[in-house]
Amino acid sequence: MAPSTYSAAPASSSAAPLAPLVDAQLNFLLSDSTLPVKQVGQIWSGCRNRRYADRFTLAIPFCLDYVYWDFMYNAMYPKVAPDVLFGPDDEGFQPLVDYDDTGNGDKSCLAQWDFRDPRGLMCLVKELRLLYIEYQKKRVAEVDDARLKFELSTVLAKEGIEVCMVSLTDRPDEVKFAVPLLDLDFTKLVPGCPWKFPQKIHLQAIFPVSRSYPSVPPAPRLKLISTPDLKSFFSVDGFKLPTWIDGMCMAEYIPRLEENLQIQVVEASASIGSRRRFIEALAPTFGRPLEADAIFCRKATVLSISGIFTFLVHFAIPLQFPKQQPILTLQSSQHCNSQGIPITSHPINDYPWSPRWDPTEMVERIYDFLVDECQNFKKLCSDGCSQTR
Amino acid sequence: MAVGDSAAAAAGAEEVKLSISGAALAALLHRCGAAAGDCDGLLFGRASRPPAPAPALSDYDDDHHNGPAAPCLSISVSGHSSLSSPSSLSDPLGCFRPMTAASSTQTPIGFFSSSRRRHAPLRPSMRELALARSLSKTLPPPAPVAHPLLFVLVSPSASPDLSTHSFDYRAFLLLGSRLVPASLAVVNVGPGFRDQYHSFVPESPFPSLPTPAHESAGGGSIGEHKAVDSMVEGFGLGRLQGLVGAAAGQAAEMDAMYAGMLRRLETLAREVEKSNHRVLEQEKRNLMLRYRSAGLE
Repeated sequence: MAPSTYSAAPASSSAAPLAPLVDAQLNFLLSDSTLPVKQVGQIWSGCRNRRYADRFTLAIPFCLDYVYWDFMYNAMYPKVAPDVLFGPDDEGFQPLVDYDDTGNGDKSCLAQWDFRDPRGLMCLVKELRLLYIEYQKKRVAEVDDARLKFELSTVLAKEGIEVCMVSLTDRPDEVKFAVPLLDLDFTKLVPGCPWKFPQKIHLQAIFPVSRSYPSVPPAPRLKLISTPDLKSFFSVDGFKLPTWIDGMCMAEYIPRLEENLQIQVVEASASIGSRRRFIEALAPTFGRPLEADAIFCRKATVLSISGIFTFLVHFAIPLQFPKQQPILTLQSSQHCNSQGIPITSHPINDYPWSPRWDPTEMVERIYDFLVDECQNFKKLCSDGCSQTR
Repeated sequence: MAVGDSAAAAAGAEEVKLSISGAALAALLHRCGAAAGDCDGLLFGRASRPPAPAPALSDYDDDHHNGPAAPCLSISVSGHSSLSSPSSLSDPLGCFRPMTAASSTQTPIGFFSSSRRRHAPLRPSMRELALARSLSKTLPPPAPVAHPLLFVLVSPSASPDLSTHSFDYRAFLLLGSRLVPASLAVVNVGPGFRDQYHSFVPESPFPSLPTPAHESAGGGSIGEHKAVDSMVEGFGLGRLQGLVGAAAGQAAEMDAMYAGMLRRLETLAREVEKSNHRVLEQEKRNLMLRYRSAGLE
């Protein structure tokens, strides 16, 4: 699904603006929540005269994916609490019917709906999401598979775990587990951290549902998934998952995985420090950087001169620094191509390097390398310009 | 209705024929289209289980009657009542809230909800499902034929310049705790719908005329006099008695009674017209107040 197209201003002149009270609730949810909810698609109106829009679709994070629910207000009747339309596959999710059966309805935020309270929608979304998590757990528990029943009984108690049924038309059904790993606060590992939402690494494990009882059940499909902002700090793609041994269960696997992960996360945190020292070491040799990523220390740019040829050097510093060397890109300040874009070199990462050098030596070696390399680049720039002429 | 899960499952197993008269559907859609926003209301009609299939009228369709036809439940919608506002039937949690003005003489066979939706095919929302469950628990057991609760979901839409209005609708039956889509046949006048007329049983009770007490000289109480007088506009009970008592040839008297009734009808029509105006004005005032409370000004 397309990412959020919602903005405070109406998307186009033809679309009616959201009714003010609804808009306040939606804005509060989108900006102030610890839950990264997105508004997707066009808003629409439930009024006959269509002066105000009052309905929209929200993408609500669930089990490392999103569920799409329609929220329907009534601009003309603001006191009426909104109604919700769930996905086509969730016919069995009936929160209000369950409230009626258990008699817990008065605890719902719908029971004391205050249309002037901007927190209304956020409370409703959170309440329904929790009920949805429980609903999916119940669905998975009904699956007739001895191994899944065992997995559920051992890991379901883990806090924050989410499971869901994945029904496929061409394959047997699957059960997806989303297990939060490492109960640690990543913001404390990154000084000056800009993250708005709490960051998490999840293990996604997909088990095929088998109604027969094979002697060795197939291994689940395993994958680590992190929240998007975490990528600039720690790459889950670069992490090698421990192997799944036949006959293993998640309760055995997860502690082993968390142990390895913990070590690497601590290394990633230490890597920020070494990247910072590298950037600081640039100043004596290259002069003070024009730009530098001060938080994750992944990028720095310096201005260099060789004779009268002025150019920029962009340093892209990998997460595995200093094991992997920075990638250099040269950009001319004097030459542009036919589209008016400054000419840049190919990324360079084949220059002499040793992770054992101290930062000053690293920078000096790069400087020595660039003294020769910039001549090649200068030639490339002049050729490029003469060709366009 | 007190339909438990087992009974509902049994109802689900048998075929249910849903129908609505063209006029009732038109009135329902007009109600949905004319409301300022969403609206909901109750549906009235009757459920019946024809004991035997109608006898074949022609020689050609013998194939139909080779096997014994399964007894099939038919539910027909004949009308609706609505307050023309959203969630008038339920509280925010979808519990049925009886309308104060609803007449208690008839038991609803279901309810409808009109809401501008975006996704096709139409699906019941969270609250509609809860209302269906709650309504089926609240309503008295349907007599004489037990049937699942009917739900009609309408989604009005209009072209950008509001010149063309279209209505998407879908019927559902509450089976167990699920609303299962069902096809809804529209019954119109014409030879194609003869079966419907065969199975028609009139339901509207004939207004009961007060029977004059023969033994008493006064001929009924003053209240009865007044009631009949208002019905026939000046055509007194005495004259009516004369009419009933006399043998024949009372054309003039008949004419007088007819004219009296026409006069009465005309005054009624005037009153309706006037009150309609007042309703419209009140609706305008309500709309302004609603705008103000929603902060839309």
